[in-house]
Amino acid sequence: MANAATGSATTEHDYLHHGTGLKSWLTTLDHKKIGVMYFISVMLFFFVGGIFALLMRLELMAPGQQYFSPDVYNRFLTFHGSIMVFMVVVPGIPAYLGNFFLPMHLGAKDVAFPRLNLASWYIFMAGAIFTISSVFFGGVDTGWTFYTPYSIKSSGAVVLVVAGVFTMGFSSILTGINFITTVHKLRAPGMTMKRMPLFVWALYSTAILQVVATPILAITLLLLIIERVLGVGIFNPELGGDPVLFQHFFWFYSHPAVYIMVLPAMGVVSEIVAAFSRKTIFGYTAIAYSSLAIAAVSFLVWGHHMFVSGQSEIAGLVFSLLTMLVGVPTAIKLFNWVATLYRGSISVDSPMLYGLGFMFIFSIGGLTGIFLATLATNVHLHDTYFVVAHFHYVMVGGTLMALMGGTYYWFPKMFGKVYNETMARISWFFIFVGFNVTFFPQFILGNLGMPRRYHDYIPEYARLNEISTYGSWMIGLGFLVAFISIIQALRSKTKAPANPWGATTLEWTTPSPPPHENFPVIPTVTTGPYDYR
Amino acid sequence: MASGNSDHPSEIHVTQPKVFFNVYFVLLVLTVMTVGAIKVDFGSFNLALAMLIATVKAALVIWYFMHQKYETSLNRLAFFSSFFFLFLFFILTAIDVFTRKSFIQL
Amino acid sequence: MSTSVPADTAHDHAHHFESREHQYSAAKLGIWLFMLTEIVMFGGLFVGYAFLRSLYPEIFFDGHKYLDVTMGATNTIVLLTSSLTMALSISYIQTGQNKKAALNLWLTFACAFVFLIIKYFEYSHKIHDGLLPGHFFTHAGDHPEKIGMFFGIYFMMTGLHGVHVTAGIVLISWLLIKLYKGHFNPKYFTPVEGVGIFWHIVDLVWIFLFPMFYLIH
Repeated sequence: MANAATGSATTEHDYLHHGTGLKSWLTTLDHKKIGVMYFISVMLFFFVGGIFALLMRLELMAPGQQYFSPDVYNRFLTFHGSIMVFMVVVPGIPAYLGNFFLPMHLGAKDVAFPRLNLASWYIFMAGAIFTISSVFFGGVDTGWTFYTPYSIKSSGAVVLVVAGVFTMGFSSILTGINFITTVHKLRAPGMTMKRMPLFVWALYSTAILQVVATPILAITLLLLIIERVLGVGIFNPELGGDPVLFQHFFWFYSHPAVYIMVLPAMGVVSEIVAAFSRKTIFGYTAIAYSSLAIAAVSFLVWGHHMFVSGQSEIAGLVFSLLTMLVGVPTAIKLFNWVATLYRGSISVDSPMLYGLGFMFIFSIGGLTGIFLATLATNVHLHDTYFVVAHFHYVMVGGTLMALMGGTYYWFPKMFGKVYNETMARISWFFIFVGFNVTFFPQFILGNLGMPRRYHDYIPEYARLNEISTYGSWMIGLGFLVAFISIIQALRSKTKAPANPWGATTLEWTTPSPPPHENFPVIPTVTTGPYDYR
Repeated sequence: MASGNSDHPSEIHVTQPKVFFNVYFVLLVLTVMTVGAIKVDFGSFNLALAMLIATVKAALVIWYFMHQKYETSLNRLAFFSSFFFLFLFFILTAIDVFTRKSFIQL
Repeated sequence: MSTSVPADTAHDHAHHFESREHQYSAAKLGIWLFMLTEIVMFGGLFVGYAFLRSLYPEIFFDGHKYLDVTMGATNTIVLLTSSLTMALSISYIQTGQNKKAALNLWLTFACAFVFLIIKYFEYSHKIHDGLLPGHFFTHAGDHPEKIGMFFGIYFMMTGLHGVHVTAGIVLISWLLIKLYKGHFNPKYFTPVEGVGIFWHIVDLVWIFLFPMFYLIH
């Protein structure tokens, strides 16, 4: 693809050894180090959010109260949701894998605004600290959606959590600005937009969402804080306000947000499917444009979270119709991935296992989204465990699978080390099987009528809940093995080659790990990104 | 010089101060008009008129003071798309807020 | 990067850009994208205003009587003037007239201060009279039931705007410091443009806030 310097030994230190000590990390302007810093933070927050999930599933294992009162349970579910959404899945792939590889995919030496990039990380950490510190001030029990009027009246540390989320929103906006500018201004010579890797198209579409939608979250949360403190009256029915208006404000961001969470994951899957089929991706243009289409349509559908909230019937009709549209570009991606696999030279290494796992799980998740988009069905399923299963299928089965797949795929490049493939496969197995054991029963539970955000349920639901909890332990075990495999790999002495998978995007032309400047000489691009022969 | 990247103008346009002063004068006049307009009763058109004048003022500020007249098409798209998305937010929310049926008290 | 480049053009930009122009072009895109977010953020409040005003016109009609049109109009003129001086300062830097640029930055700074002083008088008057948001509203008199909502929206929108004016003052001070240190010249003035564009957004928001709150018929 590129006629650049190859991945053989260089005289330069790699980026990990450029500068020494903690200070060289905390003051770095290197997008790769910043990506690694996000990796560590996001994994840490995932661990915290995961603990809350395990505790919730422990309580739900049998009917009746076992360990936690309803108030405590409600705090757990709020923390689980807030941490996972804002501190893991939203930043997860873009800020970690995106930061590391977007510039390299473009043949650039860094993102457009490296200092802003570092600032993004600090702002993210500050917001995360605000949010987590609320645990020590009584916690919050409103759910991650902070619906009014309860969020105005609840006695918990709502302002602290909301201020934390507000802050993290700015981190997301700045990352979005950085990525859009990088894509427009820092592509290597010869790299037209149609020669960019699909991961970049996905990140670009995501960045548009981050920049356009997040400011509405900012103003919504600010209004909520002012409501609590001063009583503006806009969302509070006691003062004449409209709680449904809050939901419009909230979901105008939060629906595009779920695509912020999933689009980069789809980009990772495109990379993995091409590399591990050793084949040019089928339908490159369709996949590229489908990312933009998903981003565009995502702004039109937010009312499907509000069908039974008091929204008018006409609005419900309009939002339901528009929501059906979003399945189309998503399906296009899936069909193109499958077509890529067809007659490809497939190797089922662990990144590919995660890629295939994504395709299976996301199909279920996406299709159940269409069930929920149907107005009449939604009345039955809203606020039940069916919804919980749906979004965990797309978020965990989707985004988290892709995050793990991307981690294993790019691990040799990022750290110059080799991980143990057997351990990676074992952890995949427990995560994949455990995931389905945890969440598939929840579709059935929801259809049977079990409400979400409840700490208890009728005895009829006991068996399925018990199975779901066993599944959660399998997931936990899977991530534990994955964590161990990563630590072991980092400590091993085996060096990774420049291009262990024989992939064709630009990062694989650099040494593993890459040098500080990525490309001593900026490559000139003459072909598309998946030029397998 | 440039890679396959988007436009950047090789010459940067400098606005003459005279242009700024002219625009400023027009803005002052429009402000006086806005204040004067409330003395006349146009009924419900008053709000629309005030918003129209404000929009003209805003357009002048954006086009001349903020230099959008000489900006690249990419930068224009980046900025003006904000209004489009706000419009979407307003319209779809309005479809709900203005079609709610009122309850009949029994 | 090429070989025989004069020293100053090799070092007048960050290493990941090809040239000063390249870096400037990227900076401009970043600046406009940031302004997009400011428009959407304030715009969200405007959307909220639109719905509340159409649902409860009576509270807007009643509430606006307590706003001083003269002070509001003065503030409008003050901000428009500050936009003029801000724009002028950029032109002067671009043409190497740093003294005039500094003067105009100082004028912008002064206008911003005047705006905040007038706002201070407006706010303290309202606080004194109990014209406050939500359940803090204690003004005696014949008011529609939800009048507290009007003042909630008023303080929220003008308050957020005031925060941005304050931020602008800080940024303009920063520009003045850099100007006096000789950082700006006809070839480099990106921060001045960035702050300038931000400042014009602040002016833009007020251009709408003024008729929306003070000039209700």
